[in-house]
Formats: sequence, C-alpha cells, structure tokens
Amino acid sequence: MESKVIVKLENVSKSYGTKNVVKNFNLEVYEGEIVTFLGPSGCGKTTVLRMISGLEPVTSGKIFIDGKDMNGIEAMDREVNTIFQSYALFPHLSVYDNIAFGLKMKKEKKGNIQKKVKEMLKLVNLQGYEKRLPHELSGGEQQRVAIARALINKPKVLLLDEPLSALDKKLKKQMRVELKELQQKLGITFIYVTHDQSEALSLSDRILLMRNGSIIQLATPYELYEHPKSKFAADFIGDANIFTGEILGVSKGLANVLIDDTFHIILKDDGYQKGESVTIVIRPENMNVTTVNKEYNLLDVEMKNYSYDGAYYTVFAKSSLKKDLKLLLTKEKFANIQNKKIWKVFFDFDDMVVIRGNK
Amino acid sequence: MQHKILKNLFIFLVFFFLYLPILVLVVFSFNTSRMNIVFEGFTFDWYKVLFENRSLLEAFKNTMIVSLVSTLCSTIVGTLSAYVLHRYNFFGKKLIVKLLYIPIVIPEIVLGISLLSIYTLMKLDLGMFTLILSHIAFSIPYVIISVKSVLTQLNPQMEDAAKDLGANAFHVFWNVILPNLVPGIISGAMLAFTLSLDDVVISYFTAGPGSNTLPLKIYSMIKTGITPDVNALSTIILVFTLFILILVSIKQMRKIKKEARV
Repeated sequence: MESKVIVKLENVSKSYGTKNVVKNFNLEVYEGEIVTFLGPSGCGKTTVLRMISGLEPVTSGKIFIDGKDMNGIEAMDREVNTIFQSYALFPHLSVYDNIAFGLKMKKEKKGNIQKKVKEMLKLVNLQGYEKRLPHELSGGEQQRVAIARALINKPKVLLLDEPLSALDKKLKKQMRVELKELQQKLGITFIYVTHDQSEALSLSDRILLMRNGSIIQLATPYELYEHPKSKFAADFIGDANIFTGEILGVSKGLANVLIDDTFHIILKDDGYQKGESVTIVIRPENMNVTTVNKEYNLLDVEMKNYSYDGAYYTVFAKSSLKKDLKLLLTKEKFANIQNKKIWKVFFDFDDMVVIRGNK
Repeated sequence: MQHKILKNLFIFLVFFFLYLPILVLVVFSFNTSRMNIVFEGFTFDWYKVLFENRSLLEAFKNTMIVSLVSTLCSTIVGTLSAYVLHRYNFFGKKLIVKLLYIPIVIPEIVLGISLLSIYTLMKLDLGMFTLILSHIAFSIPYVIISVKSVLTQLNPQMEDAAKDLGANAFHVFWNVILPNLVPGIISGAMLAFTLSLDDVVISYFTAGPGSNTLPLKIYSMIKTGITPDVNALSTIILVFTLFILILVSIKQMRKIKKEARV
C-alpha cells in the first residue's frame, strides 16, 4: 500500500544550551496511521511532538507537514492540534466554549460553530454537557472535551501527549479502545506519545522507540516485540529473559555460545565470528518446560517463586545462570512442575532472538 | 464547663475591643453634644451639618478621585507587569522581582520624602496629579504580587493549548489568561483601593493646596478638635463598606451553594 507522507522530519535536532535533547531525527509519518513515540521519561519524545506542533522551535533540521516546510510557521498557523497530558481545558469556559475556541479564533460564523460543536459533542458522547464547566466533569469526560476541542479544527495530524496517563487503569483501557475507534472512523493521522509499552503495543500501527533523543527502532508492534534489534528494545518492550555471551565456535551450521562461563547455548549459524559477543532474548511465554531429553539447550532449573494473575502463572526460577529466569506458564504446565524440585527448560531455535554486538 | 465559659469570654473580649471604637463612633454621630465624651441626646443634625461642611465634602471628593484613579491605573499596570514577569524571562528579572517588595517594606515616611524630592527635582507642582502618581506608585507592588500568585497556579499548558488552537499572543492573554486572573485582580484592586483611601503619611508629603484628602483633613482637624460631623461621614463610609461586604458575601454564598449542588 502506497500512502502519502503527511509529516516528515529531516535531521531535526533540539538542544538546550549544550544539552542535546533530540539528535538528528529522521521520520516519515503516513496519512491515516497511528505512530507512537515510546521511550522512558526524558528521552525527548514530548520535545519532538512539541516541535511538530510548533510550540517548541527546532534547533536545526526541517519539519514538513503535508509537504509544506514549517520553518517560520507558528503553532497557531499549523494544521495540527494537540491533546495535552493535563488536557489544559480552559477552566473559565463551558464545554461548549472550550470546543468552539478554535473555530472562534478562525472567526467562523456563529451558525457554523453551533453546528460543528453539536457534531463533536455527539462524536465524543457528551450531548447535554454544553453548559458544564471543566471542573464539574470527571477525568474521562474532560479527556473527551479535549479530544473534541482538538478535532473540531479538522487537523491533518492529531498529536497526543500521554493523553491517558491521568486516568485510572480501567478507564485507560476503555479510552484506548475509544481512541482507536475514533481514529479509524475519522482517518486522521495520530502521533501519540507514551511511556507505557502496553499502550503503545495495543494502539499503534508503528512504534518509534526512543532513548536519549535518538531513534532506537521504528517498527510495527509485532516486529518490535518479536524481533527487537537491541537489548534496550527487548528489555523495554514486554518482559524478556536476556543473556549475553560470547561465540566459542561455529561448526556444521551451528554456533556455540557460552553464557556466564557455565552454560552453552547452541544457535543456528548466521555468519557469527569466533569471539563475537551476542545477546540472546527469550520471552517468558516462549520458555518451554520439557520432559523430553534433547541433546542441547537444556537447562536444569528450580522454582524460586511464582505469582498467579488469573490466566497464567509467572514463575521465577533459579539455575546455574546468574540471573533468575522468568517463565509464563499455563495452568496445566504449572501443575506439571509444581511438585518437582528440579525440572528442565528447553531453548528452541525459533524462540530465541539474537542481537549481535553489544548494542 | 468552666473551660467553655472562659473560651466564650475570651472571644467576647476580642470582639468587644475590636468593635467598641467603631460603635462609639457611630453612636456619637447621633449625639446632640459637640463633644465626643458624653451622650446627651439623639439627633440627625450632624448629618445635616456634614452636607453643609464644604471643605470636608471637598476632601471626601478628592479622596474618592485619588483612590479610584490610582486603583484603576495601578491595577492595569500591575496586572500587565505580573503577566510579563511570569511569562517572559529576561536579564535582571530576579532583581526586579526582589525590588518589588521594597515599596512594601520601606517605611512610608521614607517613601513620602523620596517622592517629594523627586517632584521638586522634576519641578512638578504638588497637587492632585502628584498625589495620584504617588498612590499609583505604592499600590502597584500589591497588585503585582496578588496577580502573580494567581498566575503561578494556572496550568502552564493552557497557554500552549490556546496557541495550538490558533490564538495569537493577544487572544491568549485576553481570552484565556485574563479571565482566569479575575480573582487576583479584584483582590489586588481592593487592596490598592483601601491603601489609597486611608493613606496619610505619603499624601502628607505629596499633596498640595487644593488637593486635601479626607484622611489629611481629619488629621488636621485633630488640632482644632473633631466635630461629630466627621463621625457622621465615617458612619456613612462604614455603612457603605458594610453594604459592599454583604453583597460580596451573598454572591460568594450563592457560588458555594451552586458548587455544592454539582
């Protein structure tokens, strides 16, 4: 599918004094997709968003929105709108006036404004709330007003800065679904900033993983989870067992890795060099408990601790390795090992993601 | 039991000493005797005398003009200054903020003398103009501080949101910031008004002939003895102030009740 590029960042950098907050950012966002900027707090993700909205000037580089160079164009004249973390509703204005604000600034006709605000209220399910003041609304309702206030301007891109972080867990999940439905209905491009990896995974078409102002990886949620390109990506997205070791040797299409000086893992060869350091990532749900004897990649483990979340058991296990292993087991599998002292875990070729080098 | 009696007695004494002088003032405005010592009989005569006392009414008029004009000017200048100090960073900002407190803590007499010397230096004739100028000068810091405290409580993202929705700098201030500053502006203006209304020391130095204010007039009358018509004027001002206070509290009560319903 060939899509139009709606937002383009070319070598965008931002620094405060000598501190570089965003470094040489290159990105193309396609029309109608949800791109999430994901990263730990302070990684510069909000700064990138603010530069796109025009609230923060770029130090160097160029930003294009719908093909137009945004250099010198102020926030008020950009065809993007933002949903702020604190919603930033105007406390002295009613729901109606909050939503109408953007159109009033554009000097639209009163009749038009009335019609459009009504449509928006319907869209976000807030009919009958016109006269309420923001402080009379619940967190979720305030959130909807913020969404309506932004969308009424028909922005080319909607920027969302951690919009769900102030809501409780249940409301968060509900709003997540509503946001996605809204996006699909309207077809507006979303650029979404969050530090919550589960939010990013469930909401995005593509995730841009950031760290210290740089892009670590840009990929679909599936790609990012199944094939992280770095230790940081593997660690930040979902749970993972991560082992670092050194290639001892390669023969007959198999490579031998030594972990913690005690345990050998056999990998399919991928042109590894002797002495090369590799990181092996295995997701907890891919850790296989086995009773069948294999020739390699079998590790004796002993249960240390477990927790039950209703659907699965999370098991922490001790082995000869330095770090404890984390396994996600079904009830049946858990029943099999519950009363055994020592049991075996098998690392299958297909379950291991290998990251080369020390990234 | 004894504890409770003591507590009530204490509260009674506090209010007694607080309001006794005011009560005496009101009572003696209806006294037939010229002397504020013994109450001899009830009369409205002093109110009639008051409205015939040209110089006292003139002083009252001057006071109202000075207070209203200086309050208006200092509120506008103070509000804008508070916004600029809050919103923008510039060289020397911290120093300016610190300097704001000087007119508040400096002894009034020093401020009065310095204003007088400046006017003499600038060859300005003392009168209503210098009086108003002085009152504006000492009121501004109070307005700035009052407005600034509201500004710091505002959500800083609100301004970003307004810009994001297409508001220019003027609309950001006029449609978004200013309406939210109203409580701070009102309390700053009320502070400025009351300070200006009863100022004696600074006015003493900066007023000229023909710009006598009420506090100055009353102060000068002490030398010749205060007549009950001053009591009558004070009573009228008191009733007026009470009336405004009651209006404000009724409005506030309604607001609280409305909020309680939601």
